[in-house]
Amino acid sequence: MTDAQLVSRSQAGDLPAFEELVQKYQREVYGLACRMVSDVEEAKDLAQQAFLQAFVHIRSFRQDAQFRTWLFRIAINQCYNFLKSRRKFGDPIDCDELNLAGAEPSPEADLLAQDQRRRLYEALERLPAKQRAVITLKVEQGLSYQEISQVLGGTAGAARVNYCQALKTLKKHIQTEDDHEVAMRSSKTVAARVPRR
Amino acid sequence: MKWQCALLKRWLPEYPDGDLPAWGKSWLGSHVPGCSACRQELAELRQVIAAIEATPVAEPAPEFWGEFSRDLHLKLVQAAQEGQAAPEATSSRWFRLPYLLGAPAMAVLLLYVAVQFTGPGAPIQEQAVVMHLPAPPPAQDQALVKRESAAKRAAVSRKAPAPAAEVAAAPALPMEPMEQIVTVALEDGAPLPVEEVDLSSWDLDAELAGMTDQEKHVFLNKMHQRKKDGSCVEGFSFCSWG
Repeated sequence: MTDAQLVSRSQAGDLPAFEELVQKYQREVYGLACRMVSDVEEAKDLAQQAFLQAFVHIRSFRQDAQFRTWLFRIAINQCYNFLKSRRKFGDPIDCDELNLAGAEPSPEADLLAQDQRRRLYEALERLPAKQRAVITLKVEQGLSYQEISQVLGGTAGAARVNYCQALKTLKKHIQTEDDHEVAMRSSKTVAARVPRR
Repeated sequence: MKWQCALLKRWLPEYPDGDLPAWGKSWLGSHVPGCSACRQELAELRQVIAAIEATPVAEPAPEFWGEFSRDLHLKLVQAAQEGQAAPEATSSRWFRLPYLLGAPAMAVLLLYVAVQFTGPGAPIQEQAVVMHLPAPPPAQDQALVKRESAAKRAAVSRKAPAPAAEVAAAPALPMEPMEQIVTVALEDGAPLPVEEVDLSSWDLDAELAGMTDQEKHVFLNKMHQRKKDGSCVEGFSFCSWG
């Protein structure tokens, strides 16, 4: 059954039809929320909240856009609200928490992947929320600029500029992390070489 | 070459087969292979994209989704039972609160404008209201009886210049408010109908200008006398609009 049919049935009050939509998009919405807030428990709550809001307002959805982009828009707004409140009340993020969610096979690969993931999440965390959303929607969800502009507002051109800017900033942050680590390693090596008196 | 790099940098993530216009693709295709700075920038951007793609959000355990679905199902059922589902978006925007608040404001504004343009001293009084009094009925209200007792009045037409000998005016007439509507009586034996003359649009100076000094004196005295004996009635509008 297509999204449009499921949405029509949901608008008529068919809860199982809506739950079918939930099953279809829960991973994408959860992934988006995870990228946005970097917290698995909060991401789960935000994803549920997004689906609940979508269900409550499903009758006002006129199917001008795709259900998927409309749902992403709701999820992004939920994440923005959460980030705003977190900024207000100050709740530091634990990037390691996300690593626990993944199941890595071997210890060495696990260490490498964890390191890579940690650096990426830290770099993502330093991006403005809108740029983070653009990166996630473009790279992970595979939305076009037109669809991104429907989700985030603005124009397709603005979405393209945001995406490019986000990649550059991310690259800069990751490089800074690398330089910092190299500097830390070299300083440790130098410190080890210095004879203790 | 550098200006091209600056222009093309924002399109680099789309190279070679991204969401770009055809001319943009061809421009990139002709520039990037020959520009080392752009090639390096492109390689770094691809590394970043590869890092994101290589680090997807970890897939939670199967029980996670079971719990997710159960929790969400409960919330959805609760929302459906409480009737939280929003009504269908059929209501016109004209029935929304801002428009509903705006309607009375618009009505008040229109009323103000109407009063402003039709108020005292405004063009509506150019109609030179003509009110014919009916034949004296036995049980009329007091005002009409009073008018009847003043007997046989007629109004002076605004256009027709009043004969100097027949019309009197108060000496302080120019000081009087513009809202005055004066009913002027004619001589005895004149027909009964009384006309109310709007003095606000009556140019007294122009009327007096055509008279000799003696005629003016007689005219003003007569007006003053008529005002005293009650044959000259003053009426006020409900409000002065300054």
